[in-house]
Order: sequence, then structure tokens, then C-alpha cells
Amino acid sequence: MEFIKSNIWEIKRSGSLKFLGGALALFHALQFYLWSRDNNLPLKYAAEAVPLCRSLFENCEWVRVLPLGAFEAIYYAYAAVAILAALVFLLSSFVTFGFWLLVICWWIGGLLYIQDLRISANETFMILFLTLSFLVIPSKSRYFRWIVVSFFAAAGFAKLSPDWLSGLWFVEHMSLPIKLGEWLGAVTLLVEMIASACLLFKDARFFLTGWISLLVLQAMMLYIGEVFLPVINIFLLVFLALQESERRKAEREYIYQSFIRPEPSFIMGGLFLIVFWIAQILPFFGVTTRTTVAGLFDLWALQPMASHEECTQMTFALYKNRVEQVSADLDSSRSPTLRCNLYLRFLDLKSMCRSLKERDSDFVTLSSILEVRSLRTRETRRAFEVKDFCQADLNFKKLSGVRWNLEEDVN
Amino acid sequence: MEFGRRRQLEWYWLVLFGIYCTFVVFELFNANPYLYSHQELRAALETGANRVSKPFPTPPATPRTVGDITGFPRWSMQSNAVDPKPTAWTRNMIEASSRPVELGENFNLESVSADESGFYVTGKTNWVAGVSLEGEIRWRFLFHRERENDASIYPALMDTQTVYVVHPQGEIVALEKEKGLPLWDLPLNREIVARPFLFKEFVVLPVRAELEADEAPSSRPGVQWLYISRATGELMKTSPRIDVKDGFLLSYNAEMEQFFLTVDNKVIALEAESLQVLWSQILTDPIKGPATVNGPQLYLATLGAKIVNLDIAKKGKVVWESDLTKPAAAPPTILPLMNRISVRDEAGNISVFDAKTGKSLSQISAEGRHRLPDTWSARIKSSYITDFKMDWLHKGWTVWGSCGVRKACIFTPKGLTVARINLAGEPVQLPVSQESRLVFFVQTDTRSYAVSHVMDEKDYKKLKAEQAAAAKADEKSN
Repeated sequence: MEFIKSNIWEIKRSGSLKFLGGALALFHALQFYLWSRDNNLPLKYAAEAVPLCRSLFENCEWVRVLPLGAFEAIYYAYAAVAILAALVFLLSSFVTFGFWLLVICWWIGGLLYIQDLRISANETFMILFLTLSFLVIPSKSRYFRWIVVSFFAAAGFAKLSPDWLSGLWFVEHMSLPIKLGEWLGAVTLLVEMIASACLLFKDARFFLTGWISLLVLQAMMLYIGEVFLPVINIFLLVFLALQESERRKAEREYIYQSFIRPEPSFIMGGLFLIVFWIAQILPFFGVTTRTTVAGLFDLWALQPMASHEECTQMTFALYKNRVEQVSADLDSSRSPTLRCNLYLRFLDLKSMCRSLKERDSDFVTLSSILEVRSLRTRETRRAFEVKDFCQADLNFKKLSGVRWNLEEDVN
Repeated sequence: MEFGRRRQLEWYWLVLFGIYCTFVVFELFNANPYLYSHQELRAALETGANRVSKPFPTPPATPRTVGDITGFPRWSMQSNAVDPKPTAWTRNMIEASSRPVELGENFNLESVSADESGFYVTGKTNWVAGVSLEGEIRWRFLFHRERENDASIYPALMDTQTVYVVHPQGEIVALEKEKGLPLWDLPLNREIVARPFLFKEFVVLPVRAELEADEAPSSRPGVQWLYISRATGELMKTSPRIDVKDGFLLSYNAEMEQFFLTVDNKVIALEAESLQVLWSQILTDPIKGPATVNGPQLYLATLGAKIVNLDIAKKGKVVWESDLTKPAAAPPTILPLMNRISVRDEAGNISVFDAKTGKSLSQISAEGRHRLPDTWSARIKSSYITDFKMDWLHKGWTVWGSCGVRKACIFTPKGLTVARINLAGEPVQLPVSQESRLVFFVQTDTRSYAVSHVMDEKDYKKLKAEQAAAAKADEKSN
């Protein structure tokens, strides 16, 4: 309880943190709005018979503990609680009430997010992560400056991909020459990685240069047509500006330090930052999510903004009297950066085994090969080559050990 | 407190910031080394040695052995349509059985490849089917890739164990002959511009050549041949560019190791290993089908109603030219031992020429447009040689071909009709010779096909009697 009280005390004494609390609650409301625009995505997936589990969980049937009706009630309550929390933080001084509303928001949002892998999105991850940090991390002002800078820098780091730097994203959105697209890709990367680091400096020249550069970048993204992430980033920049002016005011007025509540420690914030950065960097070392630890870090990693890989999949559906080449492409509404996700490909094939068997009793099995090419190193590797994909005892962990055996008779 | 000093930037923070900025810029140029050049990053990603297509799945450590090539179009790479079997047939041949082939209404059949294991059919759908010699569909295979411009799947290629099927948009699949299971699949993503063929241990795919960096986009690209290993599906080598148009047809002379490509009114001779152009000859009219090779002689039939003989040893020098009454409907067919060639024209009539002089020797009336305009040469039994005033030296070689409606006929080189065989439909492909029967793939209706077995009438009656006796015995035992 003392821990919670000290967190609430920190928020109460800072106007910028109250603003941040309101902003985070608004982000939750915005998230609800976007989900509802996508046919209430969490409810749609909750209604399906089989969830698409995250790589951390072998089996995620436990998320279906609640009946669908209760799930729906919780889903709509999420919006109400988020709006109420925003109003409380922004318009009143009932910080404690707002704090607890935000805790409820976080729990509901987390439950909706974790129940299916297909709901994954960087914006949702950011909102939940920042909310959790806001609720539990002491030394919030200092921590949030570092974590916001980390998010910008990690986003820039994730853009160090030939797919982004080829400029095709800009060309597709703005009909530009390809070379100009390449330059815009490079400039956005430089701004996100370098200008964000400028926000850490106490010198006003560095801070303002970084702040204005990032604001201009978010405005450009808004102009191009991106909405969710630029809006979140603009609110966070406004928070940083408020926090900076608060800090300067504090230095001028020599704020009295309460001896009952000594300066909060930055250790927990530091640990959170280290875990966050390990999660962002691990994929660059080729660590695949086949262990529990890697799966845990995968939960904390931002999804890449641009694809680092491209892949080709060859799949044959074997029937008793024929063979058909089939397309095992992922759902087109999924993020392009998930297209080479090994786990999703595995799940999609398993799902295809079920659906083809139901459709045609002559169906025997699927044979599939996935080739992945790294856009960084331009090297290709065969992620899996399986002749009998539909065998019951084939799970994700065994995938790399299975080999295509041409001598076996499938029938 | 001197908060002014607290606001002052320490030198070590500036150094750290400088190192960080250097790292970021370094990584940026590492990820996109073409930022300051005219070259585009995306285009650079598409090139390089590691973009060479590899077969799916990865070839095994011990490559499987491949069998001899079978199922040549027109029975051999010389394209001479001479029956490779030594069988001498009787004149009393009848259709012993005919079994419909259930390909389905939507199977727009374009070509049938055949060997002793069965028929392999392709067409203007993405389906390929393997049909047994009894007419039963053993397997089907479906390509997923779309065909552009209504192009057909190329005729299947076969060796003793495997069927190779090529999609026009640049994908080749090797299938087990018996069950149609995929052995390997190689997506090349390069348009196949002429009919593929098997050569030694390779499947050869003619693709459009890529322009060199210094060539203008309007230059004619030409063709390259990709040599794919039959055993593993790996791309083993790419030929230098050959200056030939798309859609060429090919014949081969094994003794002289030369390829002959025909396209439009041009014939080109290539050295088989280096693909160096040895000579080329331009005729006045478009050439019908591939060149027919007989030793050092090449025979061409044209749409200008001509037969042309070129001497391969003399760099394609025209030896003689003869006229047909109508444009040619098929390439010439060799009649062995007697130095003659037969060719059918668009009216359906078959002309026989002296292969040495080009003199027209006979005209065989077999009017009508036939699904299979090709003639082929096969032997008849020696007992008929005297009956039909043929020469013993020529060992009973005769001209065979479609004639009338749903018939195949046997003619002597002088034009006498030896036999007419009634069939369930129009032959689509040269027949498969088995020990005592010929197996035809026939078209019975617009979209209906059947497999027809033709055998000697005596053998047929004997077979029927045996089958009746066996049926009676079964009844008694039941």
C-alpha cells in the first residue's frame, strides 16, 4: 500500500503527470474506438473457436474462461472507464480515483490484448506499457523522459531495415520518385534516433531542436494519413514540454523536498528500461521465440515498422487422387511485418489442415516449405521443410527438427 | 545553488552524443549504401548471387538417380516420327477397347505427352493429369500460379521415373510418375518463351534473356537457356544469350551434336555444348513445326506449300526445294531405309517425296482436317510386302496417319491403302506402341477424350475368348 501511496503522491504533486494520466486514459479510449471500427476486433476473435496463441503460451484456452456475454460487458466497460479516468485526471483533482480507474483500464485492456496474437499492434503495446509504467514506476518524471526517448529511438532502430530505407512506404502513400522516398526514409530514421536523444539534454537548444524536429515528423505522418501513432506521439511530446517547464520552474524555486517522501529511486525505472531495450535488440541477434525466456521478451518488443525479411512459402495439399499447390499466405489485413512470422505461418497451416479435412474427406496432409530471406544480410534460409504438416504430434517446438523425407509414402 | 552550472552541458555528454550520432549514421549507410548514388536500394536487393532460385524442398545429400528420357515429341529428338519399336504390325487391326478419360468439362486440353507408362495431359487450365494406358486418371496436379494471356501449361516432359511440368510464368515441378507426388519444385519467376525440353541430365528452359546494363531497353533481348538438374531441381547453368525469337521449336542431331531451332521463316543451327551459332538460313515462308533431321540432312515444311532440304554438313545449304499442292499442315516424316519423306498438307492429303532429289513420288488422298495432322512411319509384317508391291529391302516401312473421320490408315509409300482402323475418336497424339497393341489418345467430342486400344483382330478374338472362359469359370466357382 505504501508503494501505491508513493506513486499517487508523485502524480499529485506534478501537473504534467496528471496531464499524462489523462492522456493515457484518452489513448485507451482511442484504442477502443479503433477496435470498434474494426468490427470490435477483440470480440470477433473471442467468438472464434480456436484462439491464435502468443508464442509464449503453448495453449491459451485459459483466456476463454469467461463466457462471451461477460467478455462483451467487460469490453464496453473498458471504454466507459477510460473516458471517466480521462475526465477525472484532466478536469478534477481526484487523482486517487483517477489512478484506480486507470488500473482497471489497464487490466481490461491487457486482458483484451493478450487473448489473441492477431490483436498485436505497436500502439496498443505502447499504451499498455506506458500505463503500467505510469502506475508502478517511481521517479516518473525522470523515467518517462527516458522511456519516451527509448520508444522513439527503438522505432527508429526498427526502421534500420532495407524494406523501410528503400522508401517504398513513402512512394506508395505520396507518389514520389523512388530516390526521394529513400531519402525521406533515411531522414525519418535520423530524426527519430538522434532528435529523440536530444530530449535528454538539459540545454534548451538541444531540447528544443529535438522536440521541434519530432513534432514536425509527427505532423508529416499525420498529413500522410497515419493517425493513431502520431497522435500518441504528439501527446507524449506535449507531456515532455510540460514536464520540462515544470523542471525549470522547480530549479528556479528550489522546491521543498518532503522528508516523509524522499526523492523516489530510479532503480526500478532503470530496470524497466534495460528490459525494454533487451527486448528490442534480441531479434537483431537472430533469437527466435522458441524458449520461454525469448517468448517473454517477445511480449515486450515493438513490432518492426518495416519488414526485415521477405519470405516464400511453397505448400502442396495432398489428396488421395490429386495434389494441389495452395497459397498459404497470411490474412491480407495483417501487418506486413508479420508476414514472415514463423509462428503465425505454423498456426495458419495447422488451421488449414483442419479446414481442408472438413471440406474434402479425400484430403491427406499438407507439405510445406518456408524460405526466409533477410533483407539486411540478403541471406536465405529454409525455416521449415515438412512433408506431413497435419500429423497430430507436430508442434511448433519440433518444427525445425522435422525434415522432408521423399521416400515416405504419405498414403 | 548554481543552477546555471547544472544547465551547462558537460563535455563527456557531448562526446557520448557524438559517438551515438556517428553510430546512427554509420548504421544508416550500412543499411542503405546506395543513398548517395543513382542506384535504387530495392532494385539492388533483387540482384546478386543469393537471389538464384533454389528448389523446394532442399535437395537430399545423396541426389536421386534419374532415368532415361522418354516420351519425345514425334518420338525422337530428331523429330522424324519414326516408330522406335521394331514391331511389325498386321493389316487386320481393330479397336479392341475404348475407355473414356474423365478429365472434366473444364479441362481445356492442349497437348498430350505419351510414353509406355501412360499419357500426361496439359492445357489451358492450371491442371496436369497423369492417365494410365487403360484410360484411368492416376493423378492430377494443380498449379496455384495464374497464367497470363491465356497461355497453356507446356507439354509434359518425361523420363523413366519422373514427369516434369512447366508453367509458362516460370515454374517447373518434377512429379513422381506413378502417384504424381511432388519431388521438387523450382519457381524461377522468369517467363518461359519457348517449349522446354530434356537434354542429358537437364531440363532446359528457354527464358527471355536479361538485358546487359549498357544495352538500350528497346534492344531485342533474345533467349537464354536455363539448365535445371533433373535429379535435384537446382539451376546448374545459364547459357549465353541466343539471338532467336520466342516460340521456337527444336530438333537435335546426336551424331553432329547440333540443335536446330525453327521460328517464323528462320532455321538456326547451334553447337550443342557452347550454343554457338553455326549457321542460319532464312526461307521465303514460315516453317511449319520443328525441323526433321535424318543424318546430315534437314527437312522443313513451310506454309508457302514447299518442302526444303538443307545440308547440315554444308552450313545449311539448300539441296532442293519441292512444291506441295497446299501449305504444309505438319513437319515431314522420314521413311527409313528408302530415303523418302512423307508430309501432309492443309487439305489432308499426304505427299511422298524422294529425300535425295525432292521428286514427288506419290500423292495419298486422305482428305479432311485432322486433329493430328502428323504422319508417322511404322513397319508392317513381311507377309504383306509382296501383296502391296513393296520392296523387300525397305522392310515394310509404311506411312501411317489419320484419315477420314475417326480413322487411322496405313499406306504404302506408293499410295496404296493397306488398312483402315476405326477408332472411337480422332487421334490427338502419336500412338504408344506396346507389344501387341497400339494405344491411341483420341478426342471423341469437343471436350471428351478416350484411350483406344488397337490390336490384331486374331489376337483380339483370342483375348475375348480367354476373357469369356475366365468369366464362366468365375461364375461356376461362385
